[in-house]
Amino acid sequence: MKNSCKIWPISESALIVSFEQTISETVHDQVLSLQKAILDDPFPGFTECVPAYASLTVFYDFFELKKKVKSVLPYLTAVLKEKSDELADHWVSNENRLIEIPVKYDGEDLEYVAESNGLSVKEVIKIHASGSYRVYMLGFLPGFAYLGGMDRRIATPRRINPRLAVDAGSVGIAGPQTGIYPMKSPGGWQIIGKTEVPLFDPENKTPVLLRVGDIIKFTKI
Amino acid sequence: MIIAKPGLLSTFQDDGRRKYLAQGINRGGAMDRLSLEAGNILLGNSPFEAAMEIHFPGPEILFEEACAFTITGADFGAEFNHKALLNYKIYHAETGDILKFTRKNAGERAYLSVAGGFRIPAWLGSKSAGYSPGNSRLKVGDKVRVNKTALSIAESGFGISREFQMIKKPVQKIRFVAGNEWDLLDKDSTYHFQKGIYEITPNSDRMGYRLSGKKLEVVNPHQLLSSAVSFGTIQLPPDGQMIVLMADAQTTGGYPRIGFVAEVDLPVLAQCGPGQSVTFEKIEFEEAENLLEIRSHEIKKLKASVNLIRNKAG
Repeated sequence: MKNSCKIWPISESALIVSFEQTISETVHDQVLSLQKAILDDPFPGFTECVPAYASLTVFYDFFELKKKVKSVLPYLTAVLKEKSDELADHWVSNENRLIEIPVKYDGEDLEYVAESNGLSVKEVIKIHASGSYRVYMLGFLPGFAYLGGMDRRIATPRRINPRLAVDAGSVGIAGPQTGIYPMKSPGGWQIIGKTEVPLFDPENKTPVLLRVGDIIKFTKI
Repeated sequence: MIIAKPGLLSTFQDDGRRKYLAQGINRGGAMDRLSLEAGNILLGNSPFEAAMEIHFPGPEILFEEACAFTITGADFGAEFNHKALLNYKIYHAETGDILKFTRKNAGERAYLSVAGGFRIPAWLGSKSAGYSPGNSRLKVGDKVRVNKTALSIAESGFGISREFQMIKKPVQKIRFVAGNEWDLLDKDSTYHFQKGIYEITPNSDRMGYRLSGKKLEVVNPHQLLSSAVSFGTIQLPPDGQMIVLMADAQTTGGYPRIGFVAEVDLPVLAQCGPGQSVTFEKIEFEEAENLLEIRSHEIKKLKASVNLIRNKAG
């Protein structure tokens, strides 16, 4: 596979490596492979990285790195290019954990989603619960997962009037995306159901349940 | 100490949480990290020990134990037992002493630091408020203890160099580095961005500043895929008015990132409030890095002079 990543600073202590700007499992596997390569063999001053749909942003401590190298940008660009070139011919396919999320499909907008797609409520539930969804990115709120792979037949635009408070565990649809609110927050997604699975628990040692790359299946309860 | 009045927004902040961005947990931390660091250096704390970040109207604090403290950053007309205080000077508090903030003279955020640091719980490696359980904005009646410290610190004032001082200006110049989507701006917009005056709107907080001014446009706008953003990222939403992400920014964003504020100017921006005018000056990435190194040199000089005075006194 041809590797055409672009590298650009987003601050004096972070670079973004962007891949082909499309949502696909192939591109996302490249993102995760590069993440793994960096975590396995971090460069001096590395602090953390953030995988997204088609990019990996790499954060570092500027002064730590500066102790080791004279020019940060050329050095890091070379390191990251080398790592992604090494991976280019054999992107590691990642171990994707399978996570089941039991959902009670009784959300306030379930009927609206059905109506606006010319489906019955039963069909919407069936379609939503039969898909498998990849976690492409966590962002917006702690543990909020951007999931890919929803059936277009149940795609529904966001609410015109966002709710001031959506309960934690609410399962929603926004355009072609589906997701779960990890905590109570304002939100404009169409709510179709609710799960009791805690996606964000600040008291837990690992406060966020999901990881980027996980595969989610919703089961109807 | 007891919080007799909490003020508009008082929280504990250090330099934020690391290693959880990938889980959507933002870094948070102090808005003006330079003032935070200066206060800690003056008191002999570690550079990013958590301080109380204070907005105006400020809190009213009743001391319940002896401690040394200093106030850095914004000048909110602090009064200690009804006598005016100077920022960047060290004071000793005893049980029963009262600290208040009376006037908004300059800046948006003041930092109250105590020698030894506040005894507050860390969550995921940071004492910054945010999603942290049991450490949110201060409320009436909250009690906060101060860590014991072996250091004895004399009440003193240090000559603080300009680098650390808040200087109020009618138009504040903010340096920035071009971002990923800079090239998407049309020609007029690149001109306006660098020559125009932008005002910070009231719709600005610890998460981000919304600016208002000449509308900026991107050539051939298309949906971008979301990716990581950071403190200082300059985003351009579809309405053409910039948003500068600040300390409590979320971890990812999908608007064009036309640039980022040079890290050395983030403290300046953090001390600007609604109604303040700003202009943007484009610098190269390497220059932004050099400025950071110069800043770090100034910080080392401050540390050295603090140590010198302390050794003489001791």
